[in-house]
Amino acid sequence: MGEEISMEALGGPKVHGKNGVAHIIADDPAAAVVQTRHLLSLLPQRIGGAPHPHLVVGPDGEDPGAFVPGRAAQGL
Amino acid sequence: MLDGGSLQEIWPKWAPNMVTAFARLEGRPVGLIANQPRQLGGVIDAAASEKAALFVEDCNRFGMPLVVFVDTPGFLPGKVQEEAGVIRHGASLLRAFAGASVPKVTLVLRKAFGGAAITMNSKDLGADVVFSWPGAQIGIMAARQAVGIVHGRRLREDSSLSRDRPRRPPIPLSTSLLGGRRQWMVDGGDRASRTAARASPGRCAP
Repeated sequence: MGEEISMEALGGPKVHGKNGVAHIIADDPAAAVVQTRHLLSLLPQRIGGAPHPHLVVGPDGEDPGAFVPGRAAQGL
Repeated sequence: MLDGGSLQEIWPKWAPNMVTAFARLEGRPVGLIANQPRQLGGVIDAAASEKAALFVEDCNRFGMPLVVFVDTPGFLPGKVQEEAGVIRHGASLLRAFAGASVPKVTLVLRKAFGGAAITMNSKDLGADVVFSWPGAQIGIMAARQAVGIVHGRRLREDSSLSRDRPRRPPIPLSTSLLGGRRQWMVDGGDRASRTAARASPGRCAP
């Protein structure tokens, strides 16, 4: 098509991490392996399969309300 | 509320006003869908609708219960969104939620207004259980916007009137006390652990 563009701008993670083509962008290959393992631990082996058994881990202990902006900001 | 360290966000950079993530809740993998009020005020646009719809369909395919956190002022209005097909994409999210046969739990955190509130896995769309935090507002629109529509002419004719300075505090028509009468409500106390326990799909009965 005669378009002048770099490989990165055409098919790089900056483009496809923002448009939904790539689900997860890892910082480096090692992080990609770690995140892939984590993702697979959350998904069943196959569609219809049982979830992987996993120990119950307590929440990090933060109040979820801390992430919700206060009522004062609602403009009422 | 989630199991520590279990959160895996999907598509963090695409439509960040809608958060989609896998995580564990009491050991069980779930799919999370949440409005992000720190991005565009949590408004739902065409991209956010498409993102959430695809994610809901994925979760349903994998048999993962859906946990939905609602804090949205509504769908994003305007020419750009209409040209982007916000109606079609919004409908795809409605269809995804309505068609998902996995357990579906909703927690309204702060705002749930208009068509966006219906779209975010409302009770009438087929959610098994809808919870609301006590301060949440559930309704067609916020009180300020409602005044602008109902009394628009008077506001234009009488400059002494302002929808920003109501004569008395807004009647709490849209609070979760009313919404909670039809749905369920999470009360105060230890919010983190109680919310986690009560939102755990394995424990919920419709």
